Amino acid sequence: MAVKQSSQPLASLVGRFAASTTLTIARHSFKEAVRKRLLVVTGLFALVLIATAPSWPTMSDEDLVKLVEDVSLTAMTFLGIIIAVFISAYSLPSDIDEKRIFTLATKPVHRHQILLGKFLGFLALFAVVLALMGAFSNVVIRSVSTYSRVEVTAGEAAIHINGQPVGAAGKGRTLRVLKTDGKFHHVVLPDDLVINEAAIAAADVEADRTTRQLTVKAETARLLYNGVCVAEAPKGTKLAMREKAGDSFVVILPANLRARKAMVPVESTSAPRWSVISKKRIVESAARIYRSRGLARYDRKSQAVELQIGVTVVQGDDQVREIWSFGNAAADLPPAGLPPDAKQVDVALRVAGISGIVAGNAPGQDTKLDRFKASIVVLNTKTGQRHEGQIEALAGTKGFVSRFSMPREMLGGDLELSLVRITPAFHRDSPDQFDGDRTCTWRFRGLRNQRFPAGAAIRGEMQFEITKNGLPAHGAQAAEVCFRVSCPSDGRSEIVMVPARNGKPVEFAFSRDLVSPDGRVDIKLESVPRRFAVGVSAKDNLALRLLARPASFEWSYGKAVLLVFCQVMLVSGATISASTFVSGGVAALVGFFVYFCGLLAGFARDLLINPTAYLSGHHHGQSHAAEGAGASWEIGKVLLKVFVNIVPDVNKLDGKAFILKGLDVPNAAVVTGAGITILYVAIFMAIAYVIFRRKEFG
Amino acid sequence: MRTDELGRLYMCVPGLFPRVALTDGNAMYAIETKGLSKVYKDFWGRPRVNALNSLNLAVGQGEIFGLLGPNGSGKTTTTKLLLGLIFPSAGEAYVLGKPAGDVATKQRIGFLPEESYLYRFLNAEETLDFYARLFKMPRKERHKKIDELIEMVGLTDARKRPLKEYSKGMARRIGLAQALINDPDLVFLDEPTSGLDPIGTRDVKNLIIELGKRGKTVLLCSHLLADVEEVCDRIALLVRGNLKKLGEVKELLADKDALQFTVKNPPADAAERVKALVAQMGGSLEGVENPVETLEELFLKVVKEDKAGGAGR
Repeated sequence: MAVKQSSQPLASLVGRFAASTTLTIARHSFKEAVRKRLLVVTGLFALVLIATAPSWPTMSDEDLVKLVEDVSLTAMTFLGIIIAVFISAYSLPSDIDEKRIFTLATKPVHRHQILLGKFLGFLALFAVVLALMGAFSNVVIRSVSTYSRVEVTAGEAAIHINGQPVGAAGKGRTLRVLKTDGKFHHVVLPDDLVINEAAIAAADVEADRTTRQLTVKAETARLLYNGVCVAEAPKGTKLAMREKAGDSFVVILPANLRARKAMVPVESTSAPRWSVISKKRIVESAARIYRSRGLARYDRKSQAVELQIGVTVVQGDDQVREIWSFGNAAADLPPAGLPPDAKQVDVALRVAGISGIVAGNAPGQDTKLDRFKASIVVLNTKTGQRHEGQIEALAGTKGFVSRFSMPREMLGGDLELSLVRITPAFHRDSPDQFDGDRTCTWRFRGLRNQRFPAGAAIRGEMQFEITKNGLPAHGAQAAEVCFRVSCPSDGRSEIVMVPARNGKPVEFAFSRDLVSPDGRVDIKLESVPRRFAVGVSAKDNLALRLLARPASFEWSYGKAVLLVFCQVMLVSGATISASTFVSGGVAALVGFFVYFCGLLAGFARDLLINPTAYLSGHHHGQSHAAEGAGASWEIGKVLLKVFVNIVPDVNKLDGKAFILKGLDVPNAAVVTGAGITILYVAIFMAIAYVIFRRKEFG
Repeated sequence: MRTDELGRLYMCVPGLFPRVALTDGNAMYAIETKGLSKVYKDFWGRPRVNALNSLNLAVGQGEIFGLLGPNGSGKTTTTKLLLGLIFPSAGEAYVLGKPAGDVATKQRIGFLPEESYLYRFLNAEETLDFYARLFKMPRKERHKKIDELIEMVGLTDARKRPLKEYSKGMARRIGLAQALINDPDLVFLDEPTSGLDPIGTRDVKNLIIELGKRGKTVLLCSHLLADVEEVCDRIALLVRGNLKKLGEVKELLADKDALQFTVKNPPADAAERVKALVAQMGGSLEGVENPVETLEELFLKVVKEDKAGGAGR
C-alpha cells in the first residue's frame, strides 16, 4: 500500500509529462527536423570524415590516434553547430511565414509551450545525432588504437636494420609488431630508438666548411651506423655535418632517411599480445621557459637584417652565456643587396620569447620579469669584427622587435650574438595572479585524488628543448639535468637526475613519500650542465608532467561529446531566441555570430590579463608600446570587459583539448560547462519568451 | 495595470504586453466584441492601415454567422483578433465568454484558416494525430476520431500520403478535418469553399448546416455571397474595416414591396390573366419568366446522374 502511494504521484507526474503539450510539440519538431535533408547530408559527411581519418598519413601511431580523435571531435562540433543553427533558425520563421502557426496557435497551446517544445525537440535530435557520431567515432578510435605488441624479455633485444644488429631495446620495452616471419618480429621503432645520425665516407661528399653542409657527389652514398649501413643517400642529397671523424663525416640523418621499422629476434621477446595505445592520464602543471634559437633573414622591404632569438634571463646573471649563431648569415644576408652607399645595416632583433628564471624567492615575494635592457655583442666569426649595440625587450611578448644598427662590414659570414650586461627589471605580482609561471618550479597539487600506478614511485615524463653552445643538442647528446623534488609541507627533498635529450620525452620517478598529506609536491630545476641550456617551446607548456593511471577512455570521451552537446545547445538556444524576432537567415547569422564571439571570448580574456603580449607586436621597433597605447586602450579595455562578461565562452566547453593531451576530461569541466550552458540557454529562452508572447501572426 | 473607460483592466506597459481584457464577457454570446479596433503599424510604430474600426458584434450560441465583405475589408483581421493571433489596438473581444486568446477556451474552438497551412512532411493521419494530441485526447478516442474525420472529408485513399503531394482541394479537406478534430462548439471558417469543386462546396455547406443543427456556433468568412446566403442565419457586412450592415439574411434580402409566385403547369394565357388581375387590384406586374435552376444545381444534377449511370454499368 505504501509503495503504491509513493509511486502514484510519480507515475502521474510522468504520465502528465508524457501527455503534455510541450512534449507533443517536441516530438513533432523532432520529426520535422529528422525529415529534413540537411541532417542526412551533414550526417553522411561526418561519417565519411571520421571513417577516412585513420587512412590519413601521420608520423606515428600515437599521432594517428590523436588525429582520429581530433577529426572526430572537430567534425562533431562543427557539423553539430551547423545542424543546430540551420534547424533552429528556420523552424519558427518558416512556421510563421508559411502560416502554419495559425493552426498551431489556435489550439489550446501556450506560446511558451511552442518555444519550449521546439527547443526540446531539437535538443533530442542533437543528442541522438551526437550520440550516434560519438559511438561511431569511438569505434574508429578503438580500432586504430589497438595493436599487436611484444615485450622484451631477455636482457635486451638486438634491433636489426637491413639484417644487421645496430642497437638494442632494453628489457621491459614494448614494441609494436607489424608482422612476424620465422625468427624475427618486424616492429615499429619508438622515437628514442630511431637512429638519427650516421657516418658517411668523406670521399662520397663535397663539404662546405662555412655552412657545415655536405652534398653527396657519389651516385649513392652509404650511411653507416656502428658499421652497419642504415640508409643510402642518392646523389645531390644535402646533409648537415655534425663532426669529422677520421676519413668520414658524422651527419644528422634527414627524417626521410631514418628507418622507422626494424626487426627484433623472436626469442628475446614475449609472445605477441593485443593491446591498446595507452591514453595516459597526466597531472598537468604550468611552467614555461623559452628556448634559444637563432634565425636570420634579410627583409628586402625594410632593408633590415632580421635576427630572431629567444632569451632566458636568469636573475643574478648579467650575462647570457648562450650564443646565438646565425650560420645561414652568409647565404641569406647579401651585402650586395644593400644600397651601395649604405654604411650601416639596420638590424631588427626579433626576440621570440623572453622569460625570467627567478631563483631563490622567499615566499610572498614572488616577482616576475618585466623587461630587460642589455648590450648585444655581434661577432662576425669569419672576420673577427665585433659590434656592440643596445637592445630592450619586454617580458611576455611574442616577437618583440628591438632595432639597432651596425656597420655593413659585419655582414658576410657567420654571426654570433651574445647578450651582456643585462639589467632585468622585475616587478611584483599580486599573489593570486602569480602562478609560478616564470620560475622553474613545477607545483603540483591535488595529487591525493590521482590514481597512480602501484609501486613505491610516482612516474613522470619531461620533454625539453636542449641547446648546447646555442645549437639544438642532437639526439645522442643528453644533458644530465638535475631536479629537486621536495615535499612542501615538511621540506624533505630528493634529487633526481634525468638524462634529458632534445625534444624527446624522458621518464623519471621519485618516491611516493614526497607527496605531502594534502597532495602537493614541488619539482624544481636545480642545475643544468655547463654549455647546455634547457628550454620549453612556447606552444607546449607541458614540459614536465606526472603520469597517472587512465580512467576509462569511453567515459572520458563521452564527457567530451557531452561538452560538444553543450556547445550545440548553447548555439541552438541563441538561434531560436533570435528567430523569434528576425527572419530565418538572419537568425542563422546570429547563431554563428554568438558561436564565434564565444570562441573569441577566451582570446579577449587573455588580452585583458596580458595586453602587452598582443599589443606590442603591432608597434614596430618601439619599446614603449604598452605605455603608448594610452586612452584608446582604456576605452577598448572597458568594451572588452563588457564583451568578455556578456559572451558565453565556448572555450570552456572544449573537451577535445583534454582528450588530445591524453588527459581525462575532468568532471569539474563538465559541471562548469553544463552550468554555463544552462544559464545562457535560460537567458536566451527568457528573451525569446518576452518577444514571442506578444508576437502577432499577421 | 490600468483600467479603461469601461472599467476593465488592461496590462498597459506600452508595447510590452499584448492588450488583453482581464475580465470575462457575457457567457450568453459565443462571440462578443466591443469597440474592437486594429491598426497595423510599420516597423517604427507609425500607423499604416486601419484594418478594423470599432466593431461591435454579438453572435449568439448556435448561430451560423456570416462575415461578408470585399477583399481587405477586415474579415480575416476580425477572425485573427478573436483567435488571439493578433492583439487589438483598442476595444475588447470575448469568445465563449472569455477574453479572446484565452488558452483554455481554445479547447472548444476550431479554426480553418483562409488557406490550409499544414506541415508538408506529415501525412493526413500524422497531421490529425498531432493536432488531436494537442487537445490531450486519449489514444483510443484519437484514433476513432481521426478515422471518422478522414472518412468524412473523403481522404481515405490518401491518408498515408505526405501533404506535400496533396492538391489544393485535398489540403482544404484536411484543413477542415483538423478544424473539427476536437468537436468544437465554435468553428471559425475562413473561405471554407475556396479551392473546392462544386461537390466539395456542397458537402461543406451541408456540413455547416449540420453543425448548426447540432447547436454549434459557426463564424463564416466569405466573399462568395451564394454560399453565405444559403447557410447563414445572420450576416455582418464589412467594408474597409467598418460595419455596414448587420442582420438576418432573409430580412436583409427580402423586398417588402414585392411578391413572387411560382406556378406549376400554368395555362397558356396565364401571364395575360394575372397581369389583368394585378392591374385590377392596383398593383403592377414587373416580370414574368420561367424559373431557372442555378448553375450549381445543374452541375450537381449532371454529376449525380453520371454517378448513377456509372454505378449501373
